[in-house]
Amino acid sequence: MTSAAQPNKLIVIVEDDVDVRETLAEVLEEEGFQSKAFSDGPQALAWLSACQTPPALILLDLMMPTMDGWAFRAEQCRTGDLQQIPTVILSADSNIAENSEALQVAGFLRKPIHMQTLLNLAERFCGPPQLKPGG
Amino acid sequence: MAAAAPVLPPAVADAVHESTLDAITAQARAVAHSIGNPLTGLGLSLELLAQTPLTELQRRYLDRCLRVSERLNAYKELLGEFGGSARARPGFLQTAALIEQVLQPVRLLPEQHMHLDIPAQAAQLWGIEPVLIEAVRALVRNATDALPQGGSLGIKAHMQSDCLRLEVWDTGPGLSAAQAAQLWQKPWSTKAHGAGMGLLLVALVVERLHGGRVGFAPNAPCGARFFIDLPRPKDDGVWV
Repeated sequence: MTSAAQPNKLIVIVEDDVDVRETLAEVLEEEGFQSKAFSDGPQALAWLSACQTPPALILLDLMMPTMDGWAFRAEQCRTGDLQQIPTVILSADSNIAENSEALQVAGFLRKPIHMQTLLNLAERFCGPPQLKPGG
Repeated sequence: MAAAAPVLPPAVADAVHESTLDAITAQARAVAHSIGNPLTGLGLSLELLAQTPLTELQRRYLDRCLRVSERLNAYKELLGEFGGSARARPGFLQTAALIEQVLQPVRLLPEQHMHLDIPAQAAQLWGIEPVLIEAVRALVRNATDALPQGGSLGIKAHMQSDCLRLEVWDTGPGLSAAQAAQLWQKPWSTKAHGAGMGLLLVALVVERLHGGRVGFAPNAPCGARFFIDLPRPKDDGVWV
């Protein structure tokens, strides 16, 4: 990824739970946002490192088996380009606020996630959604 | 007749209590955390479904699913709060300050009137603050839910010989004798969005974690009165 690349309006989802991952992607797509979902951190990092234009936002689950959110964040922060991508953590933990401060992320979404909360966040980082024709 | 529980030396009893507390709250936290993912998938899918054309019957089924999803979320929150107290230890607490924290997030309807009675003799209690707050708050929420058309509710504290009693009362419809008999046995509620699980956790907090008692009595002239008795600590056989 080139450091001068302008962010597109893509939202990257890093979430191991298939139901959460697919539902987040479906909600975003239904409401006019683009997304790309990964089931683990290494896949997501590999794609992010290779993409030409950084996404507008990363939604990052904290509790994942292969590489948890903490390890992902550490790896992300080692790479200058990736570090600049706004990241929001997803977690069911009651201390998610403290974790988000410790991880120095742009925000957090506490599970279970409600649709409007997700959409407000998406619009905050990606701008207004692209509405479907006739929708 | 069940055998009496062994009397443990105080230091061992304290250690057992602390490890039990850690184990219980860690389990609660783990369960609350695990529920978050399926609830997210369920809740968001239901919200997506709500945006599609549905028949009246389908809409009714969907609304029921959304209500059930919200109830599950409430239980998850309760378990999470309980589990978040893993590092809390018992100590002296100011009763008025505790009640203030209990009531802080509670929203009363305009027609609901809260009465507090915390005399000087009941100014202090012994307990584990985070779980006590949740336990009393669960009782207060039940009281507010019993008064959808308005009414009075209150919290009263009074010191008894061996414990401090906190009562949460309301002037709602109350419970029948049959209902009262089952209160603490299993998840149970008169409400459409029942908090039966809340009473079980209240009992767990008070009886298992504090060695206290929970109970119910009809309120006069109407309604319900739930009480929790929190033992006063002793030091060398002397009330502290």
